[in-house]
Amino acid sequence: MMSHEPLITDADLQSYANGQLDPERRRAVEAYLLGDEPRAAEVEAFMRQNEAIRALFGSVADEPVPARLQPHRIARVLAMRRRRWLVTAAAASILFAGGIGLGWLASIVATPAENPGEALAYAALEAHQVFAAEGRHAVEVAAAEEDHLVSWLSNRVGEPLVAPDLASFGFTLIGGRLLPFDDAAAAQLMYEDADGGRLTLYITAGGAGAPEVDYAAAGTLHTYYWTSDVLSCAMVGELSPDELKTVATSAWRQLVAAI
Amino acid sequence: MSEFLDEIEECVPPLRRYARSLTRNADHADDLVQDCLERAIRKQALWRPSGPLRAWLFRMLLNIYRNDLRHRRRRPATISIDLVTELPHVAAPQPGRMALAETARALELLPEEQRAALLLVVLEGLSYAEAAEALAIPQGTLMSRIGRARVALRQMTDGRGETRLRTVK
Repeated sequence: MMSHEPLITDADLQSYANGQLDPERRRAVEAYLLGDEPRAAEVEAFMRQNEAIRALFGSVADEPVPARLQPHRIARVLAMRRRRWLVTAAAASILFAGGIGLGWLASIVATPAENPGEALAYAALEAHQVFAAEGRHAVEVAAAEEDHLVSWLSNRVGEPLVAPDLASFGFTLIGGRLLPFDDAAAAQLMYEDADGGRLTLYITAGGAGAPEVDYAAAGTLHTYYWTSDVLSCAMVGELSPDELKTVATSAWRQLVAAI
Repeated sequence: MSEFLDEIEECVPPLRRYARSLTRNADHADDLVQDCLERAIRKQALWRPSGPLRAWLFRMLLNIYRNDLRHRRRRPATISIDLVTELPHVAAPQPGRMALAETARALELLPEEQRAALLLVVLEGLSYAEAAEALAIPQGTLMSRIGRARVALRQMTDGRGETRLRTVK
Protein backbone atom coordinates (compact mmCIF):
# COMPACT_ATOMS: atom_id res chain seq x y z
CA MET A 1 0.00 0.00 0.00
CA MET A 2 2.82 2.34 0.86
CA SER A 3 4.18 1.82 -2.61
CA HIS A 4 1.33 3.91 -3.98
CA GLU A 5 2.42 6.77 -1.74
CA PRO A 6 -1.08 8.24 -1.48
CA LEU A 7 -1.04 11.92 -0.76
CA ILE A 8 -2.31 12.35 2.79
CA THR A 9 -3.25 15.87 3.73
CA ASP A 10 -3.95 17.46 7.10
CA ALA A 11 -7.59 17.50 6.09
CA ASP A 12 -7.43 13.71 5.66
CA LEU A 13 -6.04 13.30 9.15
CA GLN A 14 -8.79 15.50 10.55
CA SER A 15 -11.43 13.66 8.62
CA TYR A 16 -9.99 10.38 9.78
CA ALA A 17 -10.30 11.47 13.40
CA ASN A 18 -13.75 12.87 12.68
CA GLY A 19 -14.92 9.52 11.31
CA GLN A 20 -15.70 10.93 7.88
CA LEU A 21 -13.59 8.78 5.57
CA ASP A 22 -14.75 5.87 3.48
CA PRO A 23 -13.07 2.53 4.27
CA GLU A 24 -10.58 2.76 1.43
CA ARG A 25 -9.33 6.20 2.35
CA ARG A 26 -9.27 5.20 6.00
CA ARG A 27 -6.97 2.28 5.24
CA ALA A 28 -4.72 4.58 3.25
CA VAL A 29 -4.44 6.95 6.22
CA GLU A 30 -3.71 4.10 8.60
CA ALA A 31 -1.00 2.79 6.35
CA TYR A 32 0.53 6.22 6.04
CA LEU A 33 0.51 6.77 9.80
CA LEU A 34 2.59 3.63 10.36
CA GLY A 35 5.45 5.48 8.77
CA ASP A 36 4.98 8.91 10.32
CA GLU A 37 5.31 8.83 14.07
CA PRO A 38 4.77 12.53 14.88
CA ARG A 39 1.60 12.72 12.86
CA ALA A 40 0.44 9.40 14.24
CA ALA A 41 0.82 10.86 17.73
CA GLU A 42 -1.23 13.84 16.67
CA VAL A 43 -4.02 11.63 15.37
CA GLU A 44 -3.78 9.54 18.50
CA ALA A 45 -4.39 12.68 20.55
CA PHE A 46 -7.48 13.46 18.47
CA MET A 47 -8.79 9.96 19.06
CA ARG A 48 -8.33 10.44 22.80
CA GLN A 49 -10.37 13.64 22.56
CA ASN A 50 -13.14 11.63 20.90
CA GLU A 51 -13.09 9.04 23.65
CA ALA A 52 -13.13 11.66 26.38
CA ILE A 53 -16.06 13.52 24.80
CA ARG A 54 -18.05 10.34 24.38
CA ALA A 55 -17.24 9.20 27.90
CA LEU A 56 -18.40 12.55 29.27
CA PHE A 57 -21.75 12.77 27.55
CA GLY A 58 -22.47 9.52 25.75
CA SER A 59 -24.54 8.00 28.54
CA VAL A 60 -27.13 10.81 28.42
CA ALA A 61 -28.72 9.12 25.41
CA ASP A 62 -29.36 5.98 27.50
CA GLU A 63 -31.28 7.84 30.19
CA PRO A 64 -35.04 7.33 30.20
CA VAL A 65 -36.78 10.16 28.35
CA PRO A 66 -39.05 12.22 30.62
CA ALA A 67 -42.72 12.49 29.68
CA ARG A 68 -42.44 16.13 28.73
CA LEU A 69 -40.02 15.22 25.94
CA GLN A 70 -42.19 12.57 24.31
CA PRO A 71 -43.26 13.82 20.88
CA HIS A 72 -46.63 12.05 20.89
CA ARG A 73 -47.51 13.63 24.20
CA ILE A 74 -46.34 17.05 23.04
CA ALA A 75 -48.49 16.73 19.92
CA ARG A 76 -51.54 15.92 22.06
CA VAL A 77 -50.92 18.88 24.33
CA LEU A 78 -50.50 21.21 21.36
CA ALA A 79 -53.68 19.87 19.78
CA MET A 80 -55.52 20.45 23.04
CA ARG A 81 -54.35 24.04 23.25
CA ARG A 82 -55.34 24.60 19.64
CA ARG A 83 -58.76 23.10 20.25
CA ARG A 84 -59.34 25.43 23.15
CA TRP A 85 -58.34 28.32 20.99
CA LEU A 86 -60.78 27.31 18.28
CA VAL A 87 -63.61 26.87 20.74
CA THR A 88 -62.97 30.34 22.07
CA ALA A 89 -62.69 31.82 18.62
CA ALA A 90 -65.98 30.23 17.65
CA ALA A 91 -67.62 31.55 20.79
CA ALA A 92 -66.22 34.97 20.05
CA SER A 93 -67.60 35.06 16.54
CA ILE A 94 -71.04 34.02 17.77
CA LEU A 95 -71.05 36.72 20.39
CA PHE A 96 -69.82 39.39 18.06
CA ALA A 97 -72.29 38.31 15.40
CA GLY A 98 -75.00 38.70 18.01
CA GLY A 99 -73.85 42.21 18.64
CA ILE A 100 -72.51 41.50 22.09
CA GLY A 101 -69.06 43.04 21.95
CA LEU A 102 -67.32 42.25 25.19
CA GLY A 103 -63.88 43.63 25.76
CA TRP A 104 -62.53 40.74 27.75
CA LEU A 105 -63.12 38.34 24.94
CA ALA A 106 -60.53 39.93 22.71
CA SER A 107 -57.84 39.42 25.30
CA ILE A 108 -58.80 35.81 25.85
CA VAL A 109 -58.75 35.05 22.15
CA ALA A 110 -55.36 36.70 21.78
CA THR A 111 -53.74 34.60 24.49
CA PRO A 112 -55.54 31.28 24.46
CA ALA A 113 -55.39 29.46 27.76
CA GLU A 114 -51.89 30.69 28.45
CA ASN A 115 -52.65 31.62 32.04
CA PRO A 116 -53.87 29.10 34.60
CA GLY A 117 -57.16 30.88 35.28
CA GLU A 118 -58.21 30.80 31.66
CA ALA A 119 -57.18 27.18 31.26
CA LEU A 120 -59.33 26.39 34.27
CA ALA A 121 -62.26 28.38 32.90
CA TYR A 122 -62.09 26.55 29.56
CA ALA A 123 -61.89 23.17 31.23
CA ALA A 124 -64.86 24.02 33.44
CA LEU A 125 -66.89 25.28 30.47
CA GLU A 126 -66.13 22.18 28.46
CA ALA A 127 -66.97 19.85 31.32
CA HIS A 128 -70.23 21.69 31.89
CA GLN A 129 -71.18 21.46 28.22
CA VAL A 130 -70.62 17.72 28.22
CA PHE A 131 -72.16 16.68 31.52
CA ALA A 132 -74.88 19.22 32.31
CA ALA A 133 -76.69 18.03 29.17
CA GLU A 134 -76.78 14.45 30.49
CA GLY A 135 -79.97 13.10 32.00
CA ARG A 136 -79.34 9.89 33.93
CA HIS A 137 -75.56 10.06 33.75
CA ALA A 138 -74.98 13.65 34.71
CA VAL A 139 -73.08 12.62 37.82
CA GLU A 140 -70.88 9.73 38.83
CA VAL A 141 -71.86 9.73 42.49
CA ALA A 142 -75.28 11.11 43.46
CA ALA A 143 -76.02 13.56 46.25
CA ALA A 144 -77.67 10.73 48.20
CA GLU A 145 -74.11 9.67 49.02
CA GLU A 146 -72.84 13.16 49.68
CA ASP A 147 -70.40 12.18 52.44
CA HIS A 148 -68.80 9.55 50.27
CA LEU A 149 -68.74 11.90 47.28
CA VAL A 150 -67.01 14.66 49.21
CA SER A 151 -64.41 12.47 50.87
CA TRP A 152 -63.62 10.69 47.61
CA LEU A 153 -63.19 13.93 45.68
CA SER A 154 -61.16 15.47 48.51
CA ASN A 155 -58.77 12.54 48.42
CA ARG A 156 -58.35 12.62 44.70
CA VAL A 157 -58.06 16.38 44.36
CA GLY A 158 -55.75 16.52 47.35
CA GLU A 159 -57.46 19.22 49.42
CA PRO A 160 -60.31 19.02 51.91
CA LEU A 161 -63.42 19.96 49.96
CA VAL A 162 -67.04 20.59 50.81
CA ALA A 163 -70.06 20.62 48.58
CA PRO A 164 -71.15 24.24 49.10
CA ASP A 165 -74.75 24.68 50.21
CA LEU A 166 -76.50 26.77 47.56
CA ALA A 167 -80.07 26.14 48.73
CA SER A 168 -80.61 29.81 49.52
CA PHE A 169 -80.17 30.51 45.78
CA GLY A 170 -82.57 27.74 44.83
CA PHE A 171 -79.91 25.23 43.82
CA THR A 172 -79.70 21.69 45.18
CA LEU A 173 -76.70 19.39 44.87
CA ILE A 174 -77.38 16.45 42.58
CA GLY A 175 -73.92 14.88 42.75
CA GLY A 176 -70.46 15.06 41.27
CA ARG A 177 -67.69 13.41 39.31
CA LEU A 178 -63.92 13.20 39.01
CA LEU A 179 -62.26 14.67 35.91
CA PRO A 180 -58.70 15.11 34.68
CA PHE A 181 -57.21 18.57 34.57
CA ASP A 182 -53.71 18.91 33.13
CA ASP A 183 -51.76 16.28 35.01
CA ALA A 184 -53.99 16.40 38.07
CA ALA A 185 -57.53 15.63 39.15
CA ALA A 186 -60.50 17.98 39.22
CA ALA A 187 -63.88 17.65 40.90
CA GLN A 188 -67.11 18.68 39.24
CA LEU A 189 -70.12 19.23 41.50
CA MET A 190 -73.49 19.67 39.86
CA TYR A 191 -76.50 21.58 41.14
CA GLU A 192 -80.01 21.94 39.81
CA ASP A 193 -82.80 24.44 40.39
CA ALA A 194 -86.56 23.79 40.42
CA ASP A 195 -86.76 24.34 36.66
CA GLY A 196 -84.00 21.89 35.91
CA GLY A 197 -81.42 24.64 35.24
CA ARG A 198 -77.97 23.34 36.02
CA LEU A 199 -74.93 24.85 37.61
CA THR A 200 -71.52 23.19 37.91
CA LEU A 201 -68.63 23.91 40.19
CA TYR A 202 -65.25 22.77 38.90
CA ILE A 203 -62.52 22.49 41.53
CA THR A 204 -58.83 21.65 41.37
CA ALA A 205 -56.01 21.86 43.86
CA GLY A 206 -53.34 24.49 43.47
CA GLY A 207 -52.86 26.59 40.42
CA ALA A 208 -49.70 28.31 39.36
CA GLY A 209 -49.48 32.05 39.21
CA ALA A 210 -51.00 34.95 41.05
CA PRO A 211 -54.46 34.70 42.58
CA GLU A 212 -57.11 36.03 40.27
CA VAL A 213 -60.85 36.30 39.97
CA ASP A 214 -62.31 36.67 36.55
CA TYR A 215 -65.22 36.11 34.31
CA ALA A 216 -65.53 34.41 30.93
CA ALA A 217 -68.29 33.15 28.67
CA ALA A 218 -68.92 30.87 25.72
CA GLY A 219 -72.27 31.33 24.02
CA THR A 220 -74.96 31.42 26.69
CA LEU A 221 -72.72 29.88 29.31
CA HIS A 222 -70.96 32.05 31.81
CA THR A 223 -68.26 31.27 34.27
CA TYR A 224 -66.72 32.95 37.28
CA TYR A 225 -63.40 31.57 38.35
CA TRP A 226 -60.94 31.97 41.16
CA THR A 227 -57.39 30.78 41.29
CA SER A 228 -55.13 30.63 44.30
CA ASP A 229 -52.10 28.57 45.14
CA VAL A 230 -54.17 26.16 47.23
CA LEU A 231 -57.45 25.77 45.43
CA SER A 232 -58.83 26.98 42.14
CA CYS A 233 -62.43 26.76 41.06
CA ALA A 234 -64.83 27.86 38.36
CA MET A 235 -68.59 28.03 38.49
CA VAL A 236 -70.44 27.60 35.23
CA GLY A 237 -74.09 28.18 34.43
CA GLU A 238 -76.61 30.02 32.32
CA LEU A 239 -77.38 32.61 34.96
CA SER A 240 -76.89 36.28 34.27
CA PRO A 241 -73.38 37.46 35.12
CA ASP A 242 -74.63 39.25 38.25
CA GLU A 243 -76.60 36.28 39.57
CA LEU A 244 -73.73 33.96 38.82
CA LYS A 245 -71.32 36.18 40.63
CA THR A 246 -73.44 36.14 43.78
CA VAL A 247 -73.84 32.36 43.81
CA ALA A 248 -70.20 31.74 42.88
CA THR A 249 -68.93 34.05 45.59
CA SER A 250 -70.93 32.18 48.19
CA ALA A 251 -69.57 28.84 46.94
CA TRP A 252 -65.99 30.13 46.96
CA ARG A 253 -66.35 31.40 50.55
CA GLN A 254 -67.63 28.03 51.69
CA LEU A 255 -64.79 26.20 49.95
CA VAL A 256 -62.16 28.48 51.40
CA ALA A 257 -63.66 28.12 54.89
CA ALA A 258 -63.23 24.35 54.69
CA ILE A 259 -59.51 24.46 53.86
CA MET B 1 -48.39 12.77 11.56
CA SER B 2 -47.87 9.70 13.69
CA GLU B 3 -44.98 8.53 11.52
CA PHE B 4 -43.40 11.94 11.76
CA LEU B 5 -43.70 11.80 15.54
CA ASP B 6 -42.07 8.37 15.58
CA GLU B 7 -39.18 9.74 13.57
CA ILE B 8 -38.80 12.65 15.95
CA GLU B 9 -38.96 10.30 18.90
CA GLU B 10 -35.85 8.50 17.68
CA CYS B 11 -33.98 11.79 17.70
CA VAL B 12 -34.88 12.70 21.28
CA PRO B 13 -32.03 10.84 23.04
CA PRO B 14 -29.37 12.35 20.73
CA LEU B 15 -30.92 15.80 21.10
CA ARG B 16 -30.81 15.49 24.88
CA ARG B 17 -27.22 14.34 24.76
CA TYR B 18 -26.17 17.20 22.52
CA ALA B 19 -28.08 19.77 24.56
CA ARG B 20 -26.48 18.44 27.74
CA SER B 21 -23.03 18.68 26.21
CA LEU B 22 -23.69 22.29 25.22
CA THR B 23 -25.21 23.44 28.50
CA ARG B 24 -23.76 20.98 31.04
CA ASN B 25 -27.02 21.39 32.91
CA ALA B 26 -29.66 18.66 32.74
CA ASP B 27 -32.71 20.88 33.34
CA HIS B 28 -31.62 23.61 31.02
CA ALA B 29 -30.81 21.02 28.36
CA ASP B 30 -34.23 19.37 28.63
CA ASP B 31 -35.91 22.79 28.45
CA LEU B 32 -34.12 23.43 25.18
CA VAL B 33 -35.12 20.04 23.81
CA GLN B 34 -38.74 20.55 24.81
CA ASP B 35 -38.82 23.92 23.13
CA CYS B 36 -37.24 22.41 20.03
CA LEU B 37 -39.73 19.53 19.87
CA GLU B 38 -42.72 21.82 20.33
CA ARG B 39 -41.54 24.03 17.50
CA ALA B 40 -40.85 21.08 15.25
CA ILE B 41 -44.29 19.60 15.83
CA ARG B 42 -46.02 22.93 15.43
CA LYS B 43 -44.14 23.76 12.24
CA GLN B 44 -44.79 20.36 10.78
CA ALA B 45 -48.45 21.22 10.29
CA LEU B 46 -47.37 23.85 7.80
CA TRP B 47 -44.15 22.59 6.38
CA ARG B 48 -42.22 19.40 6.38
CA PRO B 49 -38.46 19.36 5.88
CA SER B 50 -37.31 17.57 2.76
CA GLY B 51 -33.81 16.73 4.00
CA PRO B 52 -32.85 14.55 6.93
CA LEU B 53 -34.95 15.23 9.98
CA ARG B 54 -31.98 14.90 12.33
CA ALA B 55 -30.05 17.85 10.89
CA TRP B 56 -33.23 19.94 10.88
CA LEU B 57 -33.85 19.22 14.55
CA PHE B 58 -30.26 19.93 15.55
CA ARG B 59 -30.43 23.18 13.66
CA MET B 60 -33.57 24.21 15.48
CA LEU B 61 -32.06 23.23 18.83
CA LEU B 62 -28.96 25.30 18.11
CA ASN B 63 -31.01 28.32 17.10
CA ILE B 64 -32.96 28.14 20.34
CA TYR B 65 -29.79 27.67 22.36
CA ARG B 66 -28.10 30.64 20.72
CA ASN B 67 -31.11 32.91 21.05
CA ASP B 68 -31.25 31.92 24.65
CA LEU B 69 -27.61 32.84 25.16
CA ARG B 70 -28.10 36.15 23.40
CA HIS B 71 -31.32 37.25 25.05
CA ARG B 72 -30.84 36.08 28.55
CA ARG B 73 -27.10 36.52 28.49
CA ARG B 74 -27.15 33.36 30.44
CA ARG B 75 -23.73 32.06 31.20
CA PRO B 76 -23.71 28.28 30.85
CA ALA B 77 -23.35 26.61 34.18
CA THR B 78 -19.79 25.58 34.80
CA ILE B 79 -19.12 21.93 35.23
CA SER B 80 -18.29 21.00 38.76
CA ILE B 81 -15.69 18.50 39.82
CA ASP B 82 -18.50 16.64 41.60
CA LEU B 83 -20.21 16.11 38.33
CA VAL B 84 -17.05 14.80 36.80
CA THR B 85 -16.27 12.41 39.60
CA GLU B 86 -19.84 11.16 39.66
CA LEU B 87 -19.61 10.74 35.97
CA PRO B 88 -20.42 7.85 33.89
CA HIS B 89 -20.69 4.21 34.18
CA VAL B 90 -19.28 3.90 30.71
CA ALA B 91 -18.06 0.72 29.15
CA ALA B 92 -14.35 0.23 29.73
CA PRO B 93 -11.81 1.13 28.52
CA GLN B 94 -12.31 4.77 29.21
CA PRO B 95 -10.01 7.68 29.79
CA GLY B 96 -9.13 8.32 33.42
CA ARG B 97 -11.25 10.64 35.48
CA MET B 98 -8.62 13.34 35.51
CA ALA B 99 -8.43 13.27 31.74
CA LEU B 100 -12.21 13.54 31.58
CA ALA B 101 -12.32 16.44 33.99
CA GLU B 102 -9.60 18.10 31.99
CA THR B 103 -11.44 17.67 28.72
CA ALA B 104 -14.68 18.91 30.27
CA ARG B 105 -13.00 22.09 31.43
CA ALA B 106 -11.18 22.61 28.19
CA LEU B 107 -14.39 22.18 26.19
CA GLU B 108 -15.98 24.85 28.27
CA LEU B 109 -13.26 27.30 27.34
CA LEU B 110 -13.68 26.79 23.61
CA PRO B 111 -15.53 29.47 21.65
CA GLU B 112 -19.16 28.40 21.39
CA GLU B 113 -19.09 27.99 17.61
CA GLN B 114 -16.11 25.64 17.77
CA ARG B 115 -17.61 23.60 20.57
CA ALA B 116 -20.95 23.28 18.77
CA ALA B 117 -19.23 22.03 15.61
CA LEU B 118 -16.89 19.60 17.34
CA LEU B 119 -19.62 18.02 19.47
CA LEU B 120 -21.98 17.63 16.54
CA VAL B 121 -19.44 15.54 14.64
CA VAL B 122 -17.60 13.74 17.44
CA LEU B 123 -20.39 13.15 19.94
CA GLU B 124 -23.38 12.93 17.61
CA GLY B 125 -21.58 11.32 14.69
CA LEU B 126 -23.10 13.60 12.07
CA SER B 127 -21.56 13.61 8.62
CA TYR B 128 -19.87 16.82 7.52
CA ALA B 129 -22.83 17.50 5.23
CA GLU B 130 -25.40 17.07 8.00
CA ALA B 131 -23.39 19.05 10.53
CA ALA B 132 -22.84 21.89 8.06
CA GLU B 133 -26.58 21.90 7.39
CA ALA B 134 -27.37 21.94 11.10
CA LEU B 135 -24.96 24.81 11.73
CA ALA B 136 -25.93 26.64 8.55
CA ILE B 137 -22.31 27.04 7.48
CA PRO B 138 -20.27 25.76 4.52
CA GLN B 139 -18.45 22.47 4.98
CA GLY B 140 -15.05 24.17 4.72
CA THR B 141 -15.95 26.43 7.64
CA LEU B 142 -17.16 23.46 9.61
CA MET B 143 -13.89 21.59 9.09
CA SER B 144 -11.77 24.55 10.06
CA ARG B 145 -13.82 25.12 13.22
CA ILE B 146 -13.37 21.52 14.26
CA GLY B 147 -9.67 21.73 13.42
CA ARG B 148 -9.20 24.79 15.57
CA ALA B 149 -11.21 23.23 18.37
CA ARG B 150 -8.97 20.16 18.36
CA VAL B 151 -5.76 22.15 18.41
CA ALA B 152 -7.06 24.34 21.25
CA LEU B 153 -8.18 21.29 23.23
CA ARG B 154 -4.76 19.75 22.78
CA GLN B 155 -3.04 22.88 23.97
CA MET B 156 -5.24 23.03 27.03
CA THR B 157 -4.76 19.42 28.03
CA ASP B 158 -1.43 17.72 28.25
CA GLY B 159 -2.90 14.33 28.97
CA ARG B 160 -1.26 14.01 32.38
CA GLY B 161 -4.10 15.33 34.44
CA GLU B 162 -3.07 18.96 34.39
CA THR B 163 -4.99 21.58 32.54
CA ARG B 164 -2.78 24.26 31.13
CA LEU B 165 -5.44 26.89 31.23
CA ARG B 166 -3.01 29.75 31.09
CA THR B 167 -1.99 28.91 27.57
CA VAL B 168 -5.37 29.73 26.14
CA LYS B 169 -7.91 32.51 25.80
